[in-house]
Amino acid sequence: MALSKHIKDKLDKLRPNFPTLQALVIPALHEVQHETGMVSEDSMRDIAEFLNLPFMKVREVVTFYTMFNKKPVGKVHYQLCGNIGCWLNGSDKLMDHMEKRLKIKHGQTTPDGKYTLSKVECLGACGSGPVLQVNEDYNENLDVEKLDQLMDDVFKKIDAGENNIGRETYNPEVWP
Amino acid sequence: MCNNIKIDGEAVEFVQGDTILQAAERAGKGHLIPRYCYHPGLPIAGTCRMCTVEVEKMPKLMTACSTIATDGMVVNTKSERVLKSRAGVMEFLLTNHPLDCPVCDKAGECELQDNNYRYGPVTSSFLEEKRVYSKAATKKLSPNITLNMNRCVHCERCVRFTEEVVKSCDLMMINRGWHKELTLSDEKLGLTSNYQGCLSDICPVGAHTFNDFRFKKRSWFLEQYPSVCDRCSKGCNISVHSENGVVYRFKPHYNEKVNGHWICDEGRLSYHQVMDATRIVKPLLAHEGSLKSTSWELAGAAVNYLITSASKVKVVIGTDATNEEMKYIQASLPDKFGKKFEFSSYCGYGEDKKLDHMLMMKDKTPNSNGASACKLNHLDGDLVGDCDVAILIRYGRSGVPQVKNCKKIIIIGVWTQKEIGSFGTNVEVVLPGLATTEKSGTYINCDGVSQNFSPAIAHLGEGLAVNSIISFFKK
Ligand code: SF4
Ligand code: SF4
Ligand code: FES
Ligand code: FES
Repeated sequence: MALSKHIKDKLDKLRPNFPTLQALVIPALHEVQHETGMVSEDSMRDIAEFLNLPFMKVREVVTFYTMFNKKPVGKVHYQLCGNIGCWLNGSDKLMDHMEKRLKIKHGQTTPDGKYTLSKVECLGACGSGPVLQVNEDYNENLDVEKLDQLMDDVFKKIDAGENNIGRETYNPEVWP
Repeated sequence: MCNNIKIDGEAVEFVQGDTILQAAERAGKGHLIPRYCYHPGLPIAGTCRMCTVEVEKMPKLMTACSTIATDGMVVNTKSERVLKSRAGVMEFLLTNHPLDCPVCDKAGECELQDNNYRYGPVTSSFLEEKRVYSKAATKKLSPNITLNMNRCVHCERCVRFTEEVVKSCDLMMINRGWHKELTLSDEKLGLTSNYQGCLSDICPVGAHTFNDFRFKKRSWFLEQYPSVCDRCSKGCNISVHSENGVVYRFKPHYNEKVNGHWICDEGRLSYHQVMDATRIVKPLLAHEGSLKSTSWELAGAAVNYLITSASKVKVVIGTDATNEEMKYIQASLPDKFGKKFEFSSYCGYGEDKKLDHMLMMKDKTPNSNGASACKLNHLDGDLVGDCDVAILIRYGRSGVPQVKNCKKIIIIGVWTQKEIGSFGTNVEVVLPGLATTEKSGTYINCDGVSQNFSPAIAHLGEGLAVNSIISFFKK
């Protein structure tokens, strides 16, 4: 498997804007994840080959960032921040709550493939923690009540067969 | 304009571009600044925060390894803030450390131990369970290196070494924070460089250990003397670690002009040759069809007889002899016996060339350039032939030439039984000599650098220096 033509073209267009080939790793990973929902080992190797880098240079980036999915994720990806800012504001209790409601542990996907629950590193919104990212969208200043409401909402949307859950803030025109 | 900074009240000169740590090192004050991620042979990372010092007029503590020294800087390495910060770093490093020094091979030469004795908080407030990397607690990364990930302090020296120095890129960190783990970049490929032993040298803790040395000896029993590696024409500077004349390992000895901080694995392991159980360390004399051990006097008398009664004697000196040996042999033999000898040198590895971008050379002998300087001509091909007596002198590194049409062979130097076996029954006398680590002398390396060395260990057999050996050949 090689990178799709679409991704290659896009990266070639980005090339002049980046100081080194290594700097293109993150855009490349975003593209791959956008296209396939995750970053597989094969695609890491493809990117390394395309950018002429050692494989480790791509692998270290993928494993460093929790935002890159190493496994397939469900229709809705809940990413709850577990870092210090959010943790001080009670994110661990929210995590317990979500695990109970979804009947999975973090790092897992529900058997019906609808939800994935992840504990992620700082989402960069520490001032309004705890923060939960639902697909692309941020939900801040959460407590158990707000969380329940949010999860109910998502549940209804999935039930209604809606496809754009958690993508209100997503703008494909903006990088990537 | 002079470049001065003050370290703990004492003025210290520095060179433009130095960091505070480098300036301190230059002034012999490096020991005042503990460090983990910094290593003089590697790019600066500035990540471990162990080296922080207080700099006047700067609000925060500064990392000495990455802060450029500027004229007039006033640095304090011992203030209360600094000590508190170091104790903090130590406490954090030890939260997950297994504290298994009693069974750790690095104990005694571990920077974590040393720094904790000097700067650690003595107690720990960490009550939680320690992080354990169960799959990498004792993991063989290659036949040379074993990784114990639980001991790692995540300084990434090893990663920078494989990336920037040997450029094999075969080690990497995956994940982040609590889960950060050193691993092979590619499990299938493993470690690929020829400099793996350096990983164990630079690892400040017992995470990387060198399998050849692992559990062989506690480091504090070892005496260390400098010498020169004779496994190739590079002549890397080494430190010979031994106890009671038994070598346990070679380590690199810094020399900017030759090997920097590194040596190759082949050179590192080449001490086994000095310690080889089949090395001949007693004079031998042919008797009733086989070689029997004898005294130096009898062996010397036999040589005397052979040479005096021969009309054509060829002497082949390996390019692993020192300049002094080559000169002495060429001068003393004709002088002693009042006759002509045909001298030549033998290397056995062909034209020398670099094998990689680092150190290793194709010529696996240390002194080919010395042989030219001592005006020895190369042996034509690999064959010593057509003479009454052939004297073969070599010190374990040069190739073994073939001998044809020579009635008798005299062997001098460092040889194994197997090497001598290749000559069959023509060998009349074997006179054991001293290996590089056991003697003094000079080699000229592939770049023309002339290097003197002194004995690093005492020879354990009956072998002698070449001048003593020749003194047994009577006039
Ligand atoms: S294995 Fe050793 S050198 Fe490598 S990161 Fe860990 S402590 Fe540092
Ligand atoms: S490069 Fe040559 S001289 Fe240096 S350690 Fe290796 S074998 Fe010895
Ligand atoms: S700690 Fe949660 S967003 Fe920064
Ligand atoms: S030695 Fe300076 S930060 Fe590690």
